[in-house]
Amino acid sequence: MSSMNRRDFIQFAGAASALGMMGAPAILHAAPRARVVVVGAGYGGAIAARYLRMADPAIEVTLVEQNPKYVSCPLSNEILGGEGHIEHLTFDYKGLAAIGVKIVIDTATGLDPVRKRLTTKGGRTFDFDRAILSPGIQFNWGAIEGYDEAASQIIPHAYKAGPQTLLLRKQVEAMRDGGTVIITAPEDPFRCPPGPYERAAMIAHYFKKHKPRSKILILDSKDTFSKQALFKQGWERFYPGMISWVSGSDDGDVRRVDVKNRTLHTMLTQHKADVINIIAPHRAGAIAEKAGLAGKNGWCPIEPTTFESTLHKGIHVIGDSTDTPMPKSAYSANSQAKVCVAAILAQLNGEPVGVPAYTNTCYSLITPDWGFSVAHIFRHQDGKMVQVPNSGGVSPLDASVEDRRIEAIHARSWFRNITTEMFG
Amino acid sequence: MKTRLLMGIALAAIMHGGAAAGPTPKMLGDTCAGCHGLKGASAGLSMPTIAGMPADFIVLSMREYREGKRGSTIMGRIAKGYTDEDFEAMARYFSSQPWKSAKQEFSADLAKLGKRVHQRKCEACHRDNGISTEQDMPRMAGQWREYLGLVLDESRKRNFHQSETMKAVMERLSEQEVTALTHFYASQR
Repeated sequence: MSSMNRRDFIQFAGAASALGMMGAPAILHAAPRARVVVVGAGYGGAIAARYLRMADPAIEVTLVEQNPKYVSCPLSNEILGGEGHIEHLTFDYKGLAAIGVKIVIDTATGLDPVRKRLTTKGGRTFDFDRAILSPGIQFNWGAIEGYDEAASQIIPHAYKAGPQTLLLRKQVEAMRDGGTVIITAPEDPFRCPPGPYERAAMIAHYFKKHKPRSKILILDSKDTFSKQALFKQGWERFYPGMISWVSGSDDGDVRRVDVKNRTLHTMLTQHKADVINIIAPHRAGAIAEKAGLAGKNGWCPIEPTTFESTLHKGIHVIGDSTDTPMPKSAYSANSQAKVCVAAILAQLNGEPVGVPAYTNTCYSLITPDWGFSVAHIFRHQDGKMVQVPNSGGVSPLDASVEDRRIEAIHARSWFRNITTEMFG
Repeated sequence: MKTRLLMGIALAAIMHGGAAAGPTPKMLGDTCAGCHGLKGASAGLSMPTIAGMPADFIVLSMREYREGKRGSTIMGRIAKGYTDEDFEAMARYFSSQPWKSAKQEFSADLAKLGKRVHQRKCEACHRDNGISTEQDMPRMAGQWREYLGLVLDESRKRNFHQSETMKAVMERLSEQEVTALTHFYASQR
């Protein structure tokens, strides 16, 4: 109480009654102003936790994360190309703990949106006033027949960075020269839309140096993909004849995998490969689904000024799990976290929720010196997230060699900035 | 320049009178932080710190990016997503954030050479060894060396992240002089 001025106290009391969460005695005992549980310490959750604590240290923020260290998916394709080290993509949570975020290494297993209680695999419970879920994705095991979690230990997805990335790297390294790698790419929407195509380029970058007779085949479930013209131009320029892409209409949609024989089956064809990477279709993270926050399409519908679930009040969802027109990218999650936090702060202060602004920026590499980008600027209009007309878009096809080099440099600076913003 | 710009903004504000308010300066500024760092203090070597930059410099730069008068790789595409009022709000936010000099290495010899170049060619506008932001000058001292290197070197050859005035100045500098300058600014904190 002593450190609070009159205005703070009024806001504090207002917030308490607005939320109906605690009576006056609780306030007098200097209980936290609000308890917010954040699930997932990735590009969305880490930013949400930091921005909440930066804005108001009287808010108790508990960050529940299953992995003792965070490994970034962005830039992990470079590992597959033999560039960079996974340690440089690995972060701990000390910087977040230093600003008072309570770090809980445990898996969130249950969320009761009515009682506002989160339970974990370790048997802990956390009561909250608000929850922010940023749980990333879970795979639709079985969507490709024969591909389940056990199969992913032999044929990696490498679409959650860490051991899976290293497993795929090991297989690519062990492969004979003249072998074939197949990457399967899912239908939209999926996490990191340029990911499979950048991955092909990065593996080709390694092959060009070490196994020049090898091939990469992308079997796609869809007919177009992110930054398509730029990728095709880059593949042709640096890896002519090495990368082939088969669209869904051309029988690229993989239906079944024979793990033992390393064979993929489309409707009409079977493809045998030395190394297979199945980027299986996916949906909202497990905890979001368990809490009943996912819609029929597998993703979580949200109110775009607050990122509050439209299915359960008081629970917010950000990042890859959400059902929005933004691409499922790291920058989108970062941007959404900030909108979500600003809304929660306004609600706690009994103020109207402000006008949001959303941005996405994403870099892709063809070689360590050849990069390009896409930018998106969204606005809130008539209850929807709408892309600002004639803004953003991809790097020009006719950009100079120098611009491609600069964008590759920017890709690394982007990574340093966005991860420093998260982890300090 | 400054007066004209401010008048333009005031006029635009009047014309938009009664229209729904846009996002707050902080809301807009936060969308930039993923690339320009928390509160505009960059941790990425090729991306500039924009915290503490003069508001009019930010507004002018963003308008020129949007209108294609200032070359860039990505800023032109991003700037097209915002109105003059947005630029003004972003500028208010970043200009009120504290400058943080980048912690980086530099060569003392090159910095010494760079100081001579600075005094001869730059000090007239970028006063106080590039620390001053008076006359809406961007701060140079303590900016990332890699960023300065990219932008200054490229702008010797083309319209890149610079005003027309700067391009004319840069054309007369050698690559070595540019490198020396970046080490000098890196040495100033």
